[in-house]
Amino acid sequence: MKKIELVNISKKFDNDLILDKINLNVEAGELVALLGPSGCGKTTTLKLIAGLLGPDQGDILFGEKSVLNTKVEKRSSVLVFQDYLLFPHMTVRDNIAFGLKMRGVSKAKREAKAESLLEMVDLPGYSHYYPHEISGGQKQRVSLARALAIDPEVLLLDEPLSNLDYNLREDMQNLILELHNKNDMTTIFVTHDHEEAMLLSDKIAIMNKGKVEQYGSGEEIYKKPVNKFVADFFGTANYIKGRIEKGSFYFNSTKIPLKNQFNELNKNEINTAMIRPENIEINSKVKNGINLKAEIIERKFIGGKLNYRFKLKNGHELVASTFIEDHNILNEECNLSVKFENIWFMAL
Amino acid sequence: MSQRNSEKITKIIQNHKLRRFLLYSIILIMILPLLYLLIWSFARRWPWPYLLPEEFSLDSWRYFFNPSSGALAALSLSFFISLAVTFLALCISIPAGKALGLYNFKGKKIINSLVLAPIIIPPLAVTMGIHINFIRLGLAGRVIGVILVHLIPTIPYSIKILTDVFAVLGDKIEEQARVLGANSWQRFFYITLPLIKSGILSAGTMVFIVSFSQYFLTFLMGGGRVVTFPMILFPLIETGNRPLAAVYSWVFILAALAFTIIIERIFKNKELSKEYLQL
Repeated sequence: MKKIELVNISKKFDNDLILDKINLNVEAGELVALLGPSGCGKTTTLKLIAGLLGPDQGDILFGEKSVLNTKVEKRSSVLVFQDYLLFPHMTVRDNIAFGLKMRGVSKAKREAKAESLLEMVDLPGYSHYYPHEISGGQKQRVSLARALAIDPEVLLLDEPLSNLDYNLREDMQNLILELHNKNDMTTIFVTHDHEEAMLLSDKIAIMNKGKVEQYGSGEEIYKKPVNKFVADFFGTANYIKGRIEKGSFYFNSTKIPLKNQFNELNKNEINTAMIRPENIEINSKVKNGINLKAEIIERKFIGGKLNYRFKLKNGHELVASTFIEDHNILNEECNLSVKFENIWFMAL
Repeated sequence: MSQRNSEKITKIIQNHKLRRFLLYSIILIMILPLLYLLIWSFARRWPWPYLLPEEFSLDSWRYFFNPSSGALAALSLSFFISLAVTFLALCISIPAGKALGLYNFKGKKIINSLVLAPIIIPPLAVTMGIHINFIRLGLAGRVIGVILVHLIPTIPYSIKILTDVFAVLGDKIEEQARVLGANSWQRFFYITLPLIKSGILSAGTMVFIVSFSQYFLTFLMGGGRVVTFPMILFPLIETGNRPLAAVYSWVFILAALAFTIIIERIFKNKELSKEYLQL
């Protein structure tokens, strides 16, 4: 179990800046997700930590020590690739025992370890199968077991769930959490799915265009995004333009007092209020909040949730969603209210 | 109209009778000359216009196996040279194929096209220059010189084959082995080598056969002192001793065939024949 620190890491491929001075602190034993759209540099970051790539600039620390001069095979990290990459000419057991064999562990010992790991990933009795004889989900389990066999201090997972069927994902999520907790590792995984990131990780680093936009818990990022990119990546949001006057935010004639619903960094540039759809209450009045008249122009049932589209008097459109409770009143006027604490301000 | 035509063509292709007819005719066309050779090897006199030889004899075969003919010695020398060439060519082609198949570097395109040059450029032109240098270096007229010169027409094939093999294999699986703690030798022996085995097999067989049937390069570089099997066979064909030439030809074919089959038997184990390793 080691703390990982990325300090000012930059990486270029043929003059394309893939990572631009990235800083990231992962505490020992934490499970952190690198989240972002494809091409944002998250897999490159993972490969840099594993050592398969070298940074052009900056430093990578495991514990307090720089690992830049430590060879990939000597780092205490293991990377599990997205497409499992089991060795096709070896049985499942030999695959799992491979890392131990490379370290000169005796045959009896490494085979015993492989068997116990197969049990841990719920595949007892599969030791003599070849990779082409097992399913995708089973391959994923074997590749996890193979990585765990060498007792890594840092486990790196590249899109661990993206190749799996929907119904297999939950099993695998639980397995990853279980293994992470059982094995005293610092785990970093890459994903482009924000739900997956929130379900699995302690902290999320959301990346875009080679930069870490925000780093924090899923809840924090969802509720307090630093910018529109982050807000949009985590789900739908309503944006209302306005202006700051005497410590309050105004749009049209509505006034919202500014307390602490903003990021200190862009305090002086605030010009937009962000409201998540589920924070809009329909046909109720709140005291410490805003109340608006609006007309329902669309209602969609999406299973357990209803999505609405509203039109305000000034023509501005808002989206809201409710659970179960139905306001089946198309084209009728109703009252929308949002508590002050559920409004988040940002600079667009 | 064109669709109907293509349907017609598909029908013709799917016609099993026609397909079988074509297949057997091709086999027949290839085997008939060999049969003819086999008959010749047992003939003493076979004048025109007889369908079969007037007299049969085992003289030619007897002569072949007589140590004084030097045929068996030449055959074993040929095997030795071709095996050495195969070994050297593979030692060069595996790293070269890996570099060309997996990595990007300056001048890669030029090297890629130059690799085939020895096959495209007439060997006579290339070898003349090499010959002069080999004489200076004292390599001409010696087995080692012949082995080295055989690398010229063989390496292009083995590099090309192995480049494609590595390109298909990719380097991710080696990266995976690396993060699991395998150093470069371990990666090569435990991962790469087993996975490219069938590619090495094809490349090796190709090199062996091309080297085994070299006449001109051996003739030039060996200066008559390195007597390989083709060195005996070719003059026989020229002088018109047909029964003897037939014997040598058959031995030639059988030797190459035997080598290929034995090598395949040794290296193609059960796992390799499985579909996932068809690189």
